[in-house]
Amino acid sequence: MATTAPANSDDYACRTYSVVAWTLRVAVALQAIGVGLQRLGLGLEWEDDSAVFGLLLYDWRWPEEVAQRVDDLGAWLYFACGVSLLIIPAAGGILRAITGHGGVWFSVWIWLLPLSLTVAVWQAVLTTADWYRGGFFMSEWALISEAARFALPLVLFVLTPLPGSNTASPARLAGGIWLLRIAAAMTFVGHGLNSLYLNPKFVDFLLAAAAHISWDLSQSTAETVLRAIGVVDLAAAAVMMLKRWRIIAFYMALWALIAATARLVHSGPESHFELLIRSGNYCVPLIVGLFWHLSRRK
Amino acid sequence: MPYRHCGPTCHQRPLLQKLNGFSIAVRLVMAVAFCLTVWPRHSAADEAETPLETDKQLIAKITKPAGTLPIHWRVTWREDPATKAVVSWNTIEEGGVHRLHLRSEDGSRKEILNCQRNGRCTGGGHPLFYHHARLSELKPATKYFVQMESDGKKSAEFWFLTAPAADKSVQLLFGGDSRSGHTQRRFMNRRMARLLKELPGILALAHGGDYIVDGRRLDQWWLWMADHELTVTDDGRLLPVIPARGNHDPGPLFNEIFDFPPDDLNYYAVGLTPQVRWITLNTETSMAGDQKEWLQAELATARPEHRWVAAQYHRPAWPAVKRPSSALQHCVPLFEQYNIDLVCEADGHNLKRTVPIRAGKQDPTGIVYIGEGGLGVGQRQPKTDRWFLQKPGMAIPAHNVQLLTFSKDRLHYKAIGMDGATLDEHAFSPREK
Repeated sequence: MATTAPANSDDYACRTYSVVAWTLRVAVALQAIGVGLQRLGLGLEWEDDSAVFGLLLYDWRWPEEVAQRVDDLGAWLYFACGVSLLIIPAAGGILRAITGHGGVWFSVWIWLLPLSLTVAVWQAVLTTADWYRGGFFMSEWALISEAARFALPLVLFVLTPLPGSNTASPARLAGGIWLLRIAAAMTFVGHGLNSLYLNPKFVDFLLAAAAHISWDLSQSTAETVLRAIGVVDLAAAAVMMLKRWRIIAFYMALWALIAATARLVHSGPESHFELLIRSGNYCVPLIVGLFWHLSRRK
Repeated sequence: MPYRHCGPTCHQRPLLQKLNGFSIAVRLVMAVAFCLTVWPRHSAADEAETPLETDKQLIAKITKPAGTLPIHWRVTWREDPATKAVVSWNTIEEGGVHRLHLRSEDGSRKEILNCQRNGRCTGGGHPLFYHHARLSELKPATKYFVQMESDGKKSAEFWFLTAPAADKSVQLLFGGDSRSGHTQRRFMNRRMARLLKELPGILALAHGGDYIVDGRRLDQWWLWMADHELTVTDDGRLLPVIPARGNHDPGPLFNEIFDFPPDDLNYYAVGLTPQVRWITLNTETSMAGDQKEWLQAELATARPEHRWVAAQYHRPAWPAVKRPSSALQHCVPLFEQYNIDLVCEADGHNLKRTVPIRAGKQDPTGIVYIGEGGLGVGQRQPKTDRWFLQKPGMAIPAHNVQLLTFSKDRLHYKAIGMDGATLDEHAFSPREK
């Protein structure tokens, strides 16, 4: 991976790719840690089963033990693969720097494809099971609202360079960024609609955040604010699809981070995995914004 | 096939014949091994009552829809159950005149009432029309006979009992999660009908939510309401429902079926007696805003005036399998502030009773949380390593309904399994005022 100062357009492209790829890896790793914490506990007081468990147990009538093992296996795979997607390239880079041997780098690089594919597939399974099983507000929109979650590993898979190359082709990079734009827009459409239709959790997040700063916010005012947030979310999603405005991409990243943090404010530090699991919501628009920013500089 | 009809061990006979040369000791060892294999499967069940009816027989008891023939009868309590009730039924054709024939056992009241609310249930599929007769000015602790009539077609005559106005001992069933397992749901409904017959002090069923898988689907509600007919005793007693909304019950059908106003948020309280207050919360709407304010006001009024104050809602604050709902942040502090006596939860698909909890730890003055839902849905293994499920708490996977007996000196709780066996039991003393 090129880390020296870019000297020409190829170097700029390589550096842009590097920034996109590393941000993707960090985001996927955060998401995987979030899933690990949520599903497996990993030292937390609470752990929860995914919708896959419910699907296998209640809808497909699998034995509980088997359903639990499949769900656990999926969570462990997700966690291990997601974290490895960050560790392996980092370790490969360090090894290459020490040994000066490119072969070491490419031998680890090839592992990234199945790892990112595993995370992408299991995330798609999780989201589809959420959508299929329902049981939460506007669950029929889950595939839209959670688009950023499965876009992250999917785009990482798409952008993984082939052996012998340090970067993805400009066409693939542009395609990956389009996928991320669509995912960011879909996520904001899903959350915007949830806000417009007054998702009770979102109302409670607003009320909890207001209480945190000693603002005596009534539920009706919170609902009015939420509707306004919904309209802004939908507008941001539209702009993301129609214009290359960095400011909108960075706004979406910041807002998604604030929205994810609101869960911690509401439910306490024990729910910090909620912030991690939603890394796609804020990292996807961030990557798009960074790409536009670096492309503009070029 | 000489051994075709000889019994469950028939397939072993040819094998045993080949063993003629074996010693008696070997045969004895085999016999003991066989007994040890089979014995545990029968030991627990032997004590329990066997079902009287098969699922096929239960299905045959459910009324077949036809034109304006009243079906899916039910009674809902959402206001003062001593003087008010909603008697509801459905028809598959719209009809024009929907009336309820009402008479009290003591003969003080006999009249024919027109339904105040009729309409078509939301949702696709075959049309279904609901009819609600809202009864008021009923006499407390009185047996009322009701007969539904739609365009001249009449149901059988049923009866229900109003709640008492005096401070006397009453019983209430609590359960949740009657979705998914339809056969088990019918068995549990029949179990409740039997309990209602055996224990006439039972007033109603407080349902903790998740009636069906998808609350927006009329076909699923249709089946639930049809199965609910099985809660009627053989002598025609209806089991009133005090409904709570679950996470699988979104959409307008819930309010249509239980006659809540269309935009109602389904949190309310009823007085089962002058000394028993039953609070129903809704974990599927905002809990930090208006509902929390309402709960605070309700508890502030109810606690000083009632010996027993209990609450039900769907998603648990202290779950046996999942993560806690918002009830933990918004309701539990109020429960503890006002020293509520018992909290009933659902959603987890098992049977649980927590240790008494206050300020996030075990405390003898704390609140016990029971329930988790076993009215038909497939049961699952609870996470018994959670601190609040340790002894004297408990948690097991078992279909169940919980019988609560509110008397002057104690609140007795008994969890009853599908086969009638007692699964758990506990008693609470009244709080010091």
